[in-house]
Amino acid sequence: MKRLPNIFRFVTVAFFLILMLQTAFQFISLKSLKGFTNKKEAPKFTYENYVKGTFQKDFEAYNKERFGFREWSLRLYNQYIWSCYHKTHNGWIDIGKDDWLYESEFVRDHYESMMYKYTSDSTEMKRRFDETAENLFKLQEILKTHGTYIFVNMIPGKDVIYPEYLPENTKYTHTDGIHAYDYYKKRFDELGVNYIDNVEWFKHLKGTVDYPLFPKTGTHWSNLAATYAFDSIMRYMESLNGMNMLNVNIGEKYAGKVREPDDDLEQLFNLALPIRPNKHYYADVTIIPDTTAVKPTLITIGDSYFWTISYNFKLKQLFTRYPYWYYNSTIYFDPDNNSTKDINLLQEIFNADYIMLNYCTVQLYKLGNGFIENAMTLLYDEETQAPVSQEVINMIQHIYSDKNWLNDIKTKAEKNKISLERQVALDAKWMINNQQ
Amino acid sequence: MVFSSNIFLMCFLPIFLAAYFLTPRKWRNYTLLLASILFYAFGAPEFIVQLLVSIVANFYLVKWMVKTDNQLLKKILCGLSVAISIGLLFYYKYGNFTMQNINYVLGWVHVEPMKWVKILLPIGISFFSFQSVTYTLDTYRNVNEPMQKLTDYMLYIVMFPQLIAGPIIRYCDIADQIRDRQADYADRLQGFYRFVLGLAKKVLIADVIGFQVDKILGPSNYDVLTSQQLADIATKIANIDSSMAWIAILAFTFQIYFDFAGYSDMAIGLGRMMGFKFPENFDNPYVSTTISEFWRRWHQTFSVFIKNYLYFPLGGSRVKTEGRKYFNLWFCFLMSGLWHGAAWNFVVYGALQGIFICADKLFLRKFNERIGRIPAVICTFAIIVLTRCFFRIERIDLSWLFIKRLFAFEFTPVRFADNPHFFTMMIVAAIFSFITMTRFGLRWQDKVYFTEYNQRQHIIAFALAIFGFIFCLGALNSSGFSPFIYFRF
Repeated sequence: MKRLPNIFRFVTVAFFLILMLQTAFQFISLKSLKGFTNKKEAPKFTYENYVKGTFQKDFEAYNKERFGFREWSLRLYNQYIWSCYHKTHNGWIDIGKDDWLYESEFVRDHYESMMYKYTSDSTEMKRRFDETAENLFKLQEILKTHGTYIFVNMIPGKDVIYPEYLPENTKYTHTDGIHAYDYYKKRFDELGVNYIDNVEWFKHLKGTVDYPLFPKTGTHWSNLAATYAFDSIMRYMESLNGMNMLNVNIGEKYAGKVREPDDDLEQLFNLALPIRPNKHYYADVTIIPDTTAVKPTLITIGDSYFWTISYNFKLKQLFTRYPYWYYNSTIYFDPDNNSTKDINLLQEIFNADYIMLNYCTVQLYKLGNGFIENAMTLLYDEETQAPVSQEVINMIQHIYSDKNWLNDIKTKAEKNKISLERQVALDAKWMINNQQ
Repeated sequence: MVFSSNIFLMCFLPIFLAAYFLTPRKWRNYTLLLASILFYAFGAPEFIVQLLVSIVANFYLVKWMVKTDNQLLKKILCGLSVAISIGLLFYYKYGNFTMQNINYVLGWVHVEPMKWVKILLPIGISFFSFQSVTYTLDTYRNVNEPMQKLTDYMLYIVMFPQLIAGPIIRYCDIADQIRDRQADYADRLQGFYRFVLGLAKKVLIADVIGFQVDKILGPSNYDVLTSQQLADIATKIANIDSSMAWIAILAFTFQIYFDFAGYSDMAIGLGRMMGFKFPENFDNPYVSTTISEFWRRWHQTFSVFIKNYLYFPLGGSRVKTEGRKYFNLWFCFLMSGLWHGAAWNFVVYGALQGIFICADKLFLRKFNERIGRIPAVICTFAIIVLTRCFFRIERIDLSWLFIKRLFAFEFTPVRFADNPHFFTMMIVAAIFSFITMTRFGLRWQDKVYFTEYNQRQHIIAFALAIFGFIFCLGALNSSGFSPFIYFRF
């Protein structure tokens, strides 16, 4: 026992030393915290920053994200908050009845309707929805002549299928108006826009299937529901142009250990222990060999619901290319492109067999995220109210393939305060007119 | 830099402790001094030079004061030294307040207001100004020999554990410890436990309660708020129902105690790790049966300072008339109110405390003795809670409006389930605030704070302290961490 002081001394020194070294070098690899945050950059030390106190503030914020054993300490505290008070510090998640988790914006959409977030004037919102639907129809018809088929895949939010577990509404006031989903559906039917309505289908399925369409602790459609849905989507795609695509065989469902992203909301809690053992169902997908089948190119534009499909299907074997333009911004599953800002838009569009606008009910109000407008700017002449000629299209492609020319037009667009697509379309038209 | 920050806990403290204990014993004061200067320079870079210059000036003035036999010169030098310390305090802490009031009066008599640049308040100025005053006056009164080394004096003033929020340590209490101190492993460990305990009080209780108080009453420190923010606060207070008003002010009463006492614990713990024995600053203030007792238990080092360096010089209770005695008491509390902040609400707070102290001497104490201990504690606590309105709400009109809302008797039901974390911490705070009214509570307090641990107790306490430290780090950092599933555009 006389050696105890030395042991204490050693343990204390070791504790602080390890803490410091872990902060500096992260030498012990720990289970990382889940979710995305905007990481702070290391602040630059300058005399001015230091005297103003901004360096100290930024350094504290930087340290907050990087201190040693942050993963353990946060998980420990989050567990305490959850176990004792049934709360989370994550401001994006609401806890519903019986521990069903919902993203806050879905709860808001259910009780209030997200379109009011952008304008309190529903007439203005309807005008915008009308414009988008009409443009989409025109685009659909133009693209059809080039062999590209565009369609909308409308997916229900968790709140639509499982409203019974939503937390009680304490903060939102419902304003009269039409939801983007209802409005678009009506307009798509009137105009003849291609679309898949998973919302009605899922509502129908809810009472008939013995697996959850949405996981209790996740926000996206369940792995199994997405699997069945995508099979139907592929059949729908075939029906648009009569293409023979590969078929898949969906095996028997089985209960298994949770897979990504079925517990994506629970993951964001960053707890030390799982919330509660939950049954998750899966089925293995196998591709039926068919030498006559074609592997098309599919561009998916939209929200995160496509991730679930990508986890369960071997897309590489089903499609030649399947770039995913996440919110028409970052590009995934495309080795050649990272961002929609840097692509030759028309070339990408014409190379695709299908373009799927993949949006859940909460995100539908931003359908296309600008893609429809950009494509229409290049392919439709507002003056003549007709599609642009093939010559103009060729000129636009030529401009996009010439980096120097494109850069000059970018500068011009910034100067004229118009979009790049608009400037390209104007310049291409001018070139054709002047050549003539 | 504050103790409950990542920079302090993860960088400054480990590096400092390593450096301090690796330094040979006779050089340790230099390590501590250097660390303290860095600590202050990090938090208040624009003021470090003034601080160091004032310390050097004070040191040599006092040295000169001791050397001279000329009594008049002695007095002048003493006055000059005190004037430097109090002058700095006045300029930085009360400069804005004074100018605001002068301009208010000028506006009242239709005279063009005077222009001035708003002065930023350096952290800890109230504490180190008071400490330098105690050094000058204790030396002048021959209570202690002056420091021989400038570095020792600098250390007394800027020692980082007590630099920001006290305790206010009298020179005579620490002079010997600066020159020579001993600490065995048990002292260091118990210092570490005390530090973690203080951190837990601050992070796990005070911050959780404070978050809710801010939600109900809006942010404090009105000096830095915009007029729109102030208008929002006014609207909030005007519309508050009585249930929420009582919850808010009760919560604030607990918040301020656990925040301040937690900080003092951390300071005392850090000091003990280095062999210093800092005076206690809180002694279960909410179990007081009278307001006088409350002020003997609350921020004790400040009360001692006011008593020794303001109340006694005014004549204390040895004055010719009763009226003068009560005036002295009241005036000391008025000044202590002003010390807490440069605004009229703090003046009112101090004046009210002074009035209750005088009432205590006149009749309240006798009344409290008659009604028995528990009712007396409740009465005293109620006075403390009510006067806290003027402390938390930094505008007198709003404080008054808030008190009206307290007594509007417009109660709405409050559900524990609406905020279980906050209410649980309120219960925990209440238990720890009042448990020492019982023998059981006192026994445990003695065991935890004041008894030397045996080795078995050390093992348990050490494990708990390590766990507590990591847990507090989690609490400190979890609030702002709200990740998304994926990035959105």
